Order: sequence, then C-alpha cells, then structure tokens
Amino acid sequence: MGCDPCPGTQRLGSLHRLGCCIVRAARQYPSPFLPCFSASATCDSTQVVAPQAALWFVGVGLLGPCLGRLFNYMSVARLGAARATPLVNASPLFTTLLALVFLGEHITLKILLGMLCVVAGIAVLTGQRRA
Amino acid sequence: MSLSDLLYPLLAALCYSTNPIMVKMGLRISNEPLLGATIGMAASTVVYAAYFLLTSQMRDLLAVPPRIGWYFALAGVSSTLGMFTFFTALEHTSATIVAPLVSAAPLVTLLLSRLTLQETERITLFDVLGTVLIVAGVVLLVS
Repeated sequence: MGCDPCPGTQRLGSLHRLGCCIVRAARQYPSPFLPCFSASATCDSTQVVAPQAALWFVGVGLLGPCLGRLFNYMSVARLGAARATPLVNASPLFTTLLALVFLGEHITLKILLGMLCVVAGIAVLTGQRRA
Repeated sequence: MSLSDLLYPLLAALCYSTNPIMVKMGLRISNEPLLGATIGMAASTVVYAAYFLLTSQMRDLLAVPPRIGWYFALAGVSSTLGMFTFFTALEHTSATIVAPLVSAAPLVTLLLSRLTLQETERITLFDVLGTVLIVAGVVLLVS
C-alpha cells in the first residue's frame, strides 16, 4: 500500500515514516481494539507524535522487543525457563537505578529494601550451583 | 549456575529496564502511548527483518519446522496478549494493584515449568527461594 512521506519527517529517515504509515493505515481501517486510532481519522500523525518523541519510541523498540527479547530467549535456552524468568524480571532493579541517575528520582526505604531483596534473590539463584 | 550464566538474563533485564525511562522521555514530548508502542514494535520488526535479509538467513527462518514455529508464534501471541490485558487492567484497576500482580509472573512460570518441563528442568528449593526474593523485591519496587 502506498504511503506519502509525512510532512516534516525528511530528516528522520525511514523508521519514522514507517511509523507514520502504520498509524495512517490503522486509522483507515478502524479497529474496536484501537479506538484512539479511529477516533481522529482526519488528524495527521506528525501532529500527534513529535519527531523527537518518535526517536525515543524507536529506541524503546530497539532495546526492548528487539535486543531484550533476543537476550531473553538466549537466557531461557541456557538456563531454562524457571531460572531465566526471575532474573530477566529483575529489570525494575536497573530501571530504579537509571531513574535515580537520569530522572533524579529519590530513593526511599521501600525502594532500598526492594533492591536488596532483588540482589539477594539473584545471589541465591547464582550461588546454588557453585556452592 | 555460574556468573557467566548471568550475562544474558542481566543483559535482557538491562535492555528491558531502559524501556520505562525512554518511554517516559518520549511521552513527555508526545503523550501518545499506543502510537509510541506501535512505532517501537515497527522499529524492532524492521531490524529483525533486515538482519535476516542481510545475512541471507531468511530461508533458514522459513525452514523452521511448523511444530516448533508454532511454539514461538504462541510465545509472541501470549506476550502481546499480556501487554493488551496489562493496559486493559490499568484502565479498570489501580496501578498499585496491577503492577505487583504482573511482577509475580515468575512464580507462575516456576509452577508451569514444574508441571510441563519436568524432563528438562529440575527445580530446587534455591530456585524457589531466589524467585520469591526477586518477586518480593520487584513488588516493593513497582508498588
């Protein structure tokens, strides 16, 4: 299906234009599961998602569903589902550390306790075979 | 389990952990979660497709036996359903209830592994203890 490049996106390359095309296609075929796509059929996608925001979302896609999933599958292949899943699900530990550093969020007693529990859990899972 | 076994799961955790930060950065500029998720998934699909095309492995991908392919397809569908039900739950219930419940997923995986993967995975008391500690910690972090 043909799709005109969205105005104002020439500098952002094909990924953002692809995002525009998907949004536009979704709006042309309204779905009951995606009410916000069909709610504003005349709205141009570039007016909804700013180019800078689109770049952040592309980064999210590359790190999460792309690399994150790949490493997750490699973990399950190596450790098994039962051991890999809790380790991969320890990601809020890193999110908290990143939020403390980059978003300037404050550490509370609950957060500190949570981080200690996660680290202890990782240590228990890791240490059992070496013991 | 050795320390080197931690590499891939922790890399996965690190990749996933950047998501909320980057999502927040994007949403600060354009508050459109669904469109943002669509753009992210499209970018991921493009990279996977490009990798297989550039390394001439597209034929290998298509040659995966259907019986095995279905398992991966089901994994993708259940993951997408999980996202959909997560957002639906957030529409109807407080995030302080939804987030801790979702964080308990490894306990369900542990149970399902015990029931369905007995031949390939042996679950020890340390596995249970480690999983419970991680889940408890994550619940504290997200609630």
